[in-house]
Amino acid sequence: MIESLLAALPLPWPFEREYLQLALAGGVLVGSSAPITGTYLVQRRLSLVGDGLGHLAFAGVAVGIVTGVWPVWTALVAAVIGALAIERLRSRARDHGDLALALAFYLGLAMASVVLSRRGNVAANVQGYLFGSILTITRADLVVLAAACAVVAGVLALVHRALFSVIVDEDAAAASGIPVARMNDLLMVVTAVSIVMAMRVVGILLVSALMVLPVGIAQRLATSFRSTLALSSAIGVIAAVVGLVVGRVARLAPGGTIVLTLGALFVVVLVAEGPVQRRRQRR
Amino acid sequence: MLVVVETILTLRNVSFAYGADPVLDKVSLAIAPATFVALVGPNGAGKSTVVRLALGLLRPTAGTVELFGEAPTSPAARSRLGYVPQRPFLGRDFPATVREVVASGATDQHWWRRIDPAKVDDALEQVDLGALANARIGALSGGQQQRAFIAKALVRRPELLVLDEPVAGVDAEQQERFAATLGRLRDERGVAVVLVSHDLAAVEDRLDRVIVLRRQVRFDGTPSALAADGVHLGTHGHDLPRWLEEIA
Repeated sequence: MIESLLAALPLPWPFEREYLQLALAGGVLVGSSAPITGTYLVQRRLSLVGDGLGHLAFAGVAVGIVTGVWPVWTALVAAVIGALAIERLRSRARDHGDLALALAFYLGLAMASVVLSRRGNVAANVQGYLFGSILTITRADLVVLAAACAVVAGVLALVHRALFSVIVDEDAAAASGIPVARMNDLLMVVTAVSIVMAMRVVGILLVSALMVLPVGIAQRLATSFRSTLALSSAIGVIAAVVGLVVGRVARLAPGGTIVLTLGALFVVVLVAEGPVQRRRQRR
Repeated sequence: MLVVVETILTLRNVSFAYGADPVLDKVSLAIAPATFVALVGPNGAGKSTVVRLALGLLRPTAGTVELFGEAPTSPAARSRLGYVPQRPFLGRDFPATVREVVASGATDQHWWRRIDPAKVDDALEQVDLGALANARIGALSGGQQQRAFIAKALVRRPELLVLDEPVAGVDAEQQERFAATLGRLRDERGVAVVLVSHDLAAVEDRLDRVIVLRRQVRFDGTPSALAADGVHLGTHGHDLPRWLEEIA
């Protein structure tokens, strides 16, 4: 559907070429869906979990490169297994959740380093996964991205009420009969899928930024949880489009430019927030 | 004539230990409908453990817990219970309205079911927060947030409301409003209230019963009977620890 939509749209500069249209579609898909997952993560105070999973996904990418399997699949397997392991560690030792993340950071990189050492020079293959390669997204990639983003959005819409209850008060949610442990597992698995999808756009090293920064901006502007979900998603899309345009005009890496756009938006909102709040208080 | 007193929460000879540390030792107590009960005791007395046993979040190492005549994990029993957690507070940045937080209290194991907005409105009115329904929860004071959490527990129209240290850090005026709300729930809706607190000054006049816990039930009776022992709830913070030392 996305392909036929792109074919039907005579997009103007700077998206007049097919590879740029594919990048735009990929950016819009990931930019809209990653912050939805991020909204739940940030409120669960798990903003850094995406980075931990990104490092584990990198180990999966390494396995894919060495074995010849499409690295997105191996990254997905590594991230999902890692997500469930982190959640187990986190729930068993609540005060040591940061230790679980530290383990993911170190073990992910160490495993990737060891696995890649089995193969000769793989710098070129690896760079696209580390820093993103949105301009190389193919039509086949786009179909996978669209399917994954739809699954992520669909699952989160289905369990929104239960997840929100867990976020507000885990004990009360458990006492109400909500399967808290299963909800936490599900959120981690959805995060793993989002991470692997976002990996193509901004790269493993910046993957968490696309999930967390739009939420950091949106929650300063929105009043409700639902409006935060919608606004963070819109901000993700805006950043993806602006990042691609600026990246093309200034010949900059699009992944990094998308994240810098988010960073700039965050600073603007943070600076503007003070006067707006003071005006509200005077009323 | 035989008078059968219905109980909605019953602990029979309940013992509980965290590993090798015993917390409760053969605790027995029963809560009747439409009563206002305070559960007091020093830190580490096992008050929060009793709450978590009643909620089905912990299992006793010995003895039995019954909620509405069933296991506390039974969905039917859980649907009749409301719970206000210890020091509920959502930060200023938490992006949700009061209405969204209160409505989340209606979510249970059938989370996909639609939440009746009339029940949410009713719960908000019960705690005088109707006017702030669309305000951001983080913009509320500690006392207002605490009332929002009571509304969250009330949205399922529970028959038993359990509150675990809900007034910590709340000013005197908000505590008085809080006490009035709990008294009204018992009097007008027949809700049984179990309040775990270190500070009972605001609710002293409304209590039906006080249970003093220190690993075991040390006292179970009316506030006036406790006062006859020289323990006044209004100054409970000073009297109770001394008294517990004496009876230990």
